[in-house]
Amino acid sequence: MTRKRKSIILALGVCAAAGVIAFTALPHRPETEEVYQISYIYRGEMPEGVQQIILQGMEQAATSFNVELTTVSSGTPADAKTQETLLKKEVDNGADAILIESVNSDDVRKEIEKINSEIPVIEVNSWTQKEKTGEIHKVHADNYALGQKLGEKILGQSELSEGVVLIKSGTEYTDVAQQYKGTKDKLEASGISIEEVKVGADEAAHSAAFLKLMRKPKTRHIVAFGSAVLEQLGKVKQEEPDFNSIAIYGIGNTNQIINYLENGIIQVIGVSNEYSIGYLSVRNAVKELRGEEPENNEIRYSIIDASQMYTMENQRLLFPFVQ
Amino acid sequence: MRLWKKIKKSLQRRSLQFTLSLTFTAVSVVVLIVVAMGYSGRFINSAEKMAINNNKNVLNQMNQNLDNYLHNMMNISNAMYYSIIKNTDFEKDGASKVTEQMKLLYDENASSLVSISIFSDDGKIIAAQPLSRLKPSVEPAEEEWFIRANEKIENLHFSTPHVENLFVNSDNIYHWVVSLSRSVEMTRAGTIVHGVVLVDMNFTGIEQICKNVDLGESGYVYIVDSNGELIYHPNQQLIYAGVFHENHKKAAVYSEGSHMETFEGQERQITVKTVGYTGWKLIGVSPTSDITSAYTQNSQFLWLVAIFAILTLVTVNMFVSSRVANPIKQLERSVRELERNNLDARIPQSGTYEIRHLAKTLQSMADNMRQLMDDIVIEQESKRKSEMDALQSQINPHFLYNTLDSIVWMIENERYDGAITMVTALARLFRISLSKGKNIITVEQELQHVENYLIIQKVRYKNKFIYNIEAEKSVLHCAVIKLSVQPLVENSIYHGLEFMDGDGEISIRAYQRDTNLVIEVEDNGPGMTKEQIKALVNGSGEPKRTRGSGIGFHNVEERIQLYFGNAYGLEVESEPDEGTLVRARLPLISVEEAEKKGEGRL
Repeated sequence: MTRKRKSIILALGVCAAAGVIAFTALPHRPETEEVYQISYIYRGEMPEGVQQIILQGMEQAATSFNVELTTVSSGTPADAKTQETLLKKEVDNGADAILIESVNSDDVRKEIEKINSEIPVIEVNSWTQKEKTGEIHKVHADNYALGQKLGEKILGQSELSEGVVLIKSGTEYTDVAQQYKGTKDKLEASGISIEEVKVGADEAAHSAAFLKLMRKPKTRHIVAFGSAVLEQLGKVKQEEPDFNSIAIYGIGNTNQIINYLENGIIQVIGVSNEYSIGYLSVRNAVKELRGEEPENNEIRYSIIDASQMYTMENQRLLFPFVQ
Repeated sequence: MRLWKKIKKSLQRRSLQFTLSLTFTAVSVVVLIVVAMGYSGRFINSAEKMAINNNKNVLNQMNQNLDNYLHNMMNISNAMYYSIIKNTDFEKDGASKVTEQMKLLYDENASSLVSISIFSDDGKIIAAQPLSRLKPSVEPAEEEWFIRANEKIENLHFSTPHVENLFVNSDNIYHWVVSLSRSVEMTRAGTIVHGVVLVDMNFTGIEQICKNVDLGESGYVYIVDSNGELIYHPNQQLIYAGVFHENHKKAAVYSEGSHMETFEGQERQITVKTVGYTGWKLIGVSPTSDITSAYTQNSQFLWLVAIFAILTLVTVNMFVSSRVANPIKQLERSVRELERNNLDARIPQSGTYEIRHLAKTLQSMADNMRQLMDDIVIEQESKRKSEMDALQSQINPHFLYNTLDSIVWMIENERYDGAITMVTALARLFRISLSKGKNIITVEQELQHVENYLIIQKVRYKNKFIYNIEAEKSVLHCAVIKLSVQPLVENSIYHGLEFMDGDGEISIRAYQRDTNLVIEVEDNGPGMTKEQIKALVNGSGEPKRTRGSGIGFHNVEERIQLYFGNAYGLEVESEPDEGTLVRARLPLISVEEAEKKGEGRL
């Protein structure tokens, strides 16, 4: 066989191989999109109030971005040690990314930074505070501005001469701490006398503490931060007609709180778009997994009283359109 | 035109195989590309048409479902109006009868309803199901659904989705609803009064119809009202939150059918269908990338097949063209060989009949030519041999006569020793001249021959000259053409010394210079002018040779060049009154080598 003939046969062989590859390497079905395992470590026993809305947003994003979402409770009260352990456990369980409603702790921060070098970690709603935020991505509303807006609204109420009571609870979480600080700074700047009342983590003890607080004749304006505390405050007020003259303000969003707002038990609430927080946290995690740069979307918030509840804008904020 | 000329010119310089391959391949590639483009275009068109049709079908189906759903709601409203309200005198029968009938109606449609209620024309509640206690903060007469119902009393009015906020709900559940309101006439104590019937449809009913619509990989359907307000969107909450954006305001003015739009850098196909009664529009969104991805794979496959076919065709073309061109190429190669005078070249006889015939004819031509050439060569060789022999045998009879005369004279004068010397020298001269018929002898033999000749001539010229022969030992066994030095010595005697008054001197030297053998014959005769040298070298006006051996300068040079090539030959150096030096330059080779070399030439 001549060299030329050999090369022609070789070329034909290559053509045949190319044909076979063409038939086999081009599947008619599109490739299935990768499913990402993402864990959401939240504070508390069960996702409640704001967390529930955040979770709804996350679930919508999970459907859109082919994510298998696992929710993990870090208990009540959530502590740094538990969150550290959970972070490690989720990495061991093969999570592709972790979303965490973190406790403001250096230990948690260090653990997050360590894990973030391997898989994306997004801090959702609350975060480990540090001046240099580094590479950890966060999704949350401007809680300080929200607190300030609430303070502004309170200042708009008549008769604040007897001062305002600020319920200090849950400030170990950055979101609550920022909201608290925002409101306090605003009120202090206006020369309003402020009484800070610390209530412990034990929710069972809250009712008694609030009852005692409301029975004080000087207590006319109370501000609470966090859905659970605000809801409990409303409940105490609703049960005692004598407390009708006490104005309650707060930041939180549950159906019960909305009901209290509608029925005049709570006067003003501050609400941020938690649904967006949930959606964006998953979306940003997926973007990081895909090697894209996460986006910084502004989270909308609003201060709502009973008269504004059913404006189209506020309806959409208060009653997430869960699909 | 210029390009075509260039191509044509370039092709003319190329081989037949290249031209054939290129032409076949170009034609095949063009045809395949045209076919692939045609099919690809058809794929694209049909895929787009299919996508449009699919979207239309999906939207029609969805419209049908939505229409049924809305009809169902309108039926509830109609049932409320025509079966309950029209048959009731609210004063006489009381609201309880209406409430009972409304409960039945509500229970029957509980899955899609949130509430049904009747309001008086001043906004007071008459009856409602399942809840009937209005929230204290609510003013129905100020609600949009109420106002619209009273504005156009003959119509049914569908609202945009909103949270139901009329009734006290102890479960703290807030439903998203779409309100269907209409103005109704009620009988109160025999008098016709106006009122408003409100049917709050659970939004999830609409959502269920819309959410499982399959409009391709990332396509979706949304609903807008005539003002562009969203009724339903799969990302409704995200749109409200400003995280997701939709072109719904613009889409609301699209006419029914298919449109192309570019929104946020994404090209999308929009299919619009208007929903009856409501003025809502169903908007189907299919990103073009979805549609293109459907046919891109087919197109890619088609192109791959085309590339595969092109590669195969190129290979086949190369094979076929080589089969066609190779015999011609071989023929051409053979002709080249013939051009190089290699008439022994064999012309392969392969390929088609015409080429085989051509090859046969050429072969026979070449054979004939070779035969003719061989004949010519043989003829030339024999001619040259005869020439050589003739040259070598040109020993002047006069020289012989004179020599023999000198010998006779010596014997007569009883100079027997001189006669013996001369006869001996003459005998040796003839012996070397013969040399068994060889043309090539050693330098040593040629110098002996020269010496014998000089011995004879010295006697004849009565010792008028002296001679000196020197040779490097290393050149003694080298080859030299027989009788190539002796004629030069003869020239020196006849032209250089014969007319001299004083003592003549002839020096013969043989030595090696580089790779050459040099033999010099030098005399101290009258020498030559430049013109004389030129005339001698060019062969024009050579002095008439009436004496001597008769083998002259040109004879020697011709023989050297005939035997060893034009690189060798004779050189002359001479000045008037200074003498003449003739230098023979020959290759430094042995006799055997010279004979071998000479065979090829002679």
